Amino acid sequence: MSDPTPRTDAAAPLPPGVPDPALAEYAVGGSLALTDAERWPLMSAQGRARLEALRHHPHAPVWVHETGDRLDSDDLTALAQIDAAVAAGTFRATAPGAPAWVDALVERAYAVVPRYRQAARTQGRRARDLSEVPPVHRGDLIEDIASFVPVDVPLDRVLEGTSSGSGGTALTVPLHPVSTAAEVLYFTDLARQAGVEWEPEPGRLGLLNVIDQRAGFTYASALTSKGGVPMARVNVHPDAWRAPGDREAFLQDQDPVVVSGHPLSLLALAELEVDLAPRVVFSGAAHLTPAARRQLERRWGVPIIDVYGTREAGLIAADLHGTPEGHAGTPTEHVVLSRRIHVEILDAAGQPVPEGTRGEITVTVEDNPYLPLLRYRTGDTAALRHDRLSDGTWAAVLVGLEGRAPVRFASAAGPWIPSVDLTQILQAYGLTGWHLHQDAAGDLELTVFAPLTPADLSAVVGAVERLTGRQPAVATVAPVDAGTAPKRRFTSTYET
Amino acid sequence: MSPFVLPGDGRVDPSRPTVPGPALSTVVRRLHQAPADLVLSPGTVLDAAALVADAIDEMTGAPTAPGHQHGAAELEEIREFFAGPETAPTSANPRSRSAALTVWVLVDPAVHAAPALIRDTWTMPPLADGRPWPRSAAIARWATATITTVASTFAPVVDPSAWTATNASREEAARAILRAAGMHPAYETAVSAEARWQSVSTLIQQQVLNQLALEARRAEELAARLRSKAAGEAVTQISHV
Repeated sequence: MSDPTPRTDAAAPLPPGVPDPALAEYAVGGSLALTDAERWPLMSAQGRARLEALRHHPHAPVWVHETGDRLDSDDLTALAQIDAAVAAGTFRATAPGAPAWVDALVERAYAVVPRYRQAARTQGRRARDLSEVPPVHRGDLIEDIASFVPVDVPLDRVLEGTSSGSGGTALTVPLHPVSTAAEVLYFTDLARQAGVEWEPEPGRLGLLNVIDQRAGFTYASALTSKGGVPMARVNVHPDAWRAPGDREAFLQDQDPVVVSGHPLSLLALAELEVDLAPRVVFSGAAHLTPAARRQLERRWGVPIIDVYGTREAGLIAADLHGTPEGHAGTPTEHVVLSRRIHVEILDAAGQPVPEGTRGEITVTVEDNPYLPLLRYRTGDTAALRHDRLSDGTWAAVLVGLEGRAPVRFASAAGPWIPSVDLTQILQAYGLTGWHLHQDAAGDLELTVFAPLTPADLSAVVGAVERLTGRQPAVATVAPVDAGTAPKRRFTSTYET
Repeated sequence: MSPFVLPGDGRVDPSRPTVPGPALSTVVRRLHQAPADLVLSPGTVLDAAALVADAIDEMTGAPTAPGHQHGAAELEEIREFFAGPETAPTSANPRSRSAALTVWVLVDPAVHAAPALIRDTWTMPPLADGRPWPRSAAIARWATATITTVASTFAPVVDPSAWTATNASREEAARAILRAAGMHPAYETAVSAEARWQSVSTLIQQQVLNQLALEARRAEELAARLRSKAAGEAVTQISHV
């Protein structure tokens, strides 16, 4: 997608779906390039009919985008192998240490990944095992993502993914259709662990991916690896719909089997006057508080699975149960998924900590052929515990996971603004780092990284004011001082 | 090809760590002092096998004449190695000419009598009657392996006629011979010596340049593909992470 650039003519109306000149990428149909046959190479005539019915539903939202899973028959074969491995627990460790595939990954990385080839040249030798591989962080990927892509993998299937993370600048992540579609397998397995068999049900949407933000990509699609069952990414924000009542009518008619969302978007969906009957709900991208989990459980009476991961590393772990009611102080437990992922906990110096000690979650993952990651520091913290399972394998458990907290801001007019809306704006105006805080009185304080020209700063302040109805007080810090600034980009003491 | 010669890496046995040898300056000076008739131009006729045999005699103090118990096998190996079309004496191929300077370096007692080499010399299986191999035989095998390794891995990259030409070429040749011999310069560590080798080796630098060129092309291709509308349309995603 092309970078959005603010228009100079402020009087001209913005295209539908574009709330700010800097967010031109959200114009309806603004990022399309393929045919449906290219989006879903294996779609049947029946699948096409279902997709068209979904697209042109009388109460359908304004579809901002179209996208498919791109899966061909070879991809389905690969996914079937992954599915079998997940079911058999092939990727689970047989001992608490690093599984055998990690050593092979280290050897491969030093042979074909530019960053590690350079390290070998500089140091005169390759790392002998994972413990000798220096950790990397998000900034390293932002600085030179190409250096992490193996030189022996054809690039013809590469897709653009994005990650906002918790560091400010957006990260472009090279994705592969198979590793992305594998999430369907992981969701199916997690649902099964929670006692739910995710099967397509005639007349029902297979999966609803729900967002609640001022601007976002929405689309009707299909899951090839799930028999072509229809799915949709839907924005429950009122501005995303053509007419009052469309939102409720559409959702009621679709009645998705599975719902996936962010805690705030799930809560927004739960508050609607719609009787949905999902079999299971997946929450991700931010911390699911016990109160939010209870609310969702009471609303739908189904398992609420809290998934943890990053766009660049994929799904990492999941909490199927949450904290028992009445045990608010009990730390959460997210079990690392049965996939090709190895988790360590490192201290600030990059050294592994003893079992049970808190530190930074660091992952080594070989799933996406375009982005094998070795000792990738996520910026999130937890303690790690290893549990022996009945089959003799070991499960890694993240205890007391602390990641991103969902934050929303009170606009002057009353409606809540989720932090993702502000992330879009601040990133679109080119900020590499910031801290936005709303105090108890509702006033906004924005700290940004210098240097920023007066014109750029004025544009940012104007955009925030248009969105929130509040003009923020602004301070600038030198990037070198950013390490002393709060890590969270958004904080609020407005809500208590 | 000798079974001792392992392709590509330039070391007789990459699985064994190198041991401290003479100071780099000692070997560099040795090369600098090489008689002119050892710096052979392409087309020079040289009986490399005879040269090597004489050198092994000098280092081991034991004759390598046919029929002698120790060294005969090495002599045959050398003859076989240098008899092939790639190493023919009159060939423009540099392998046989490389033997002259390699031998010149190895016969220096500072090299073949390096204490660590004596202490950690080739571990060889005992003789059929259980007796250990004598030191002279170990030296002969070590020298043979080193000479053929240098001839196979370094000489084709940097012509022997250029080894003594400049400070840089002398250092590269010195390090190549020491590496092949299983040693690293004194006052360096095995790791630092290998790192230094990475930066002075003509072959590695050429490989590095080729690697860097490939990586630059790949980065450009990746950027172009990610900018494309097809990639930008992205893909159906179901999770929030």
